[in-house]
Amino acid sequence: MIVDDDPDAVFVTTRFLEHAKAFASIHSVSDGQEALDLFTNPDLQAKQGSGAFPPEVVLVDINMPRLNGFEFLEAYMKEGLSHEDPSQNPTFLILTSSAHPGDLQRAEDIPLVKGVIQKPLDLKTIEDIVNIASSSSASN
Amino acid sequence: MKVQPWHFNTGEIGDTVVILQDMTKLKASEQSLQRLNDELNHFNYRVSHDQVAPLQTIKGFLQLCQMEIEVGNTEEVKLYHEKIEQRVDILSQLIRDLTNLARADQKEADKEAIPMEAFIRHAFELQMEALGQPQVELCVWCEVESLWVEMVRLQQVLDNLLSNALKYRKENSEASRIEVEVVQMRDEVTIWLKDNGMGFEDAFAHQAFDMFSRGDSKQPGSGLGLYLVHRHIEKMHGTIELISPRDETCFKMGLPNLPSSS
Repeated sequence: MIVDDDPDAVFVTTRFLEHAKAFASIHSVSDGQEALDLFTNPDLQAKQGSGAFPPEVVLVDINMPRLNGFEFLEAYMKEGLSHEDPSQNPTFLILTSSAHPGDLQRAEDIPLVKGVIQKPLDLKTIEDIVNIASSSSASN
Repeated sequence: MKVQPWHFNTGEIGDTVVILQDMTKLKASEQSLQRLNDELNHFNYRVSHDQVAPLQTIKGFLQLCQMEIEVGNTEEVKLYHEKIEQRVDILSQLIRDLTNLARADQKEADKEAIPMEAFIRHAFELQMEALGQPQVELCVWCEVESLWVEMVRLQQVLDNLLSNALKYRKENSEASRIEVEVVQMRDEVTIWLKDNGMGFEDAFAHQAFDMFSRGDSKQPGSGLGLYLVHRHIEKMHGTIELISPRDETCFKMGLPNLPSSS
């Protein structure tokens, strides 16, 4: 799942993921609020189609209107959505064009975040994402 | 406050000297400086992000082009080429917005008597043209023949407000409409600008004029438009309020209508 307000960035990310054939389905929401709504509302989840929810990997942009990437992840934990068993959580990765030290530090401070990936994606980075996701789910 | 003893020539302590200094202004200046510094840091962060992000997207499209060229898929390459052009346009618009913002802080220009009704209609036509002539009706009630203002500032205020009203209209509902009413009240002109578009979410309404504040993730935008409007209005010694954020979105502006800048 991609959480990003920039439709062109979503387009590029989706195309690379499709090329890599790394995931069975790719879904996107346009900001942190929409992502939070999806995680908290079973009706919305049901509309995603079979197998699409919960997502295996969530790529979260930082700068978005309404709820930015950090606010979304903090709200996700505050809402109690984070599973006690970390391997049961989706693999949350920050996907950003920011190299600002403050952003990188903040990402590091959120335990849910398994890594920070620079935009744009490429095939090598997708390999890294798959590796992080498989090591996260095998971590316990 | 500083407390210290004073001494006789013999070295014996005579009494205590208490020096009281009013630090209110100094502290206020420090706080103001801190606020400006924070604002500047935030501004630099966002400008850097908003310029780098589209460039990274363009880089992504170029890499996709390369992959498609290798397999001879020219149709996809054409699509990416169009997307790259659009991103370049968005980036150019951001740079124009930033330039306008820098100009908004520059010193005041001479006021001119602006024929309001014609000026509003012309600004509307320009925005309609820029947005591909959407189906929107403009109604103007103008009881003020001319308004003494700095023309460039008023132009940018109207451009931004009208562009927002045109971009964020409700689709598939009643006919889109923008109403502008200009009335004279003593030495001040009040401009009401209303539209029946999407409006602002309640949670966003209070920060509508903030720098880089965007209330919608579906439309591209720098988040500088209403901030720029606010800065221009301030520089013209006027006021602007978002009276109603929704149903009938309504901005109310007050501008002095005097030939001199005093």
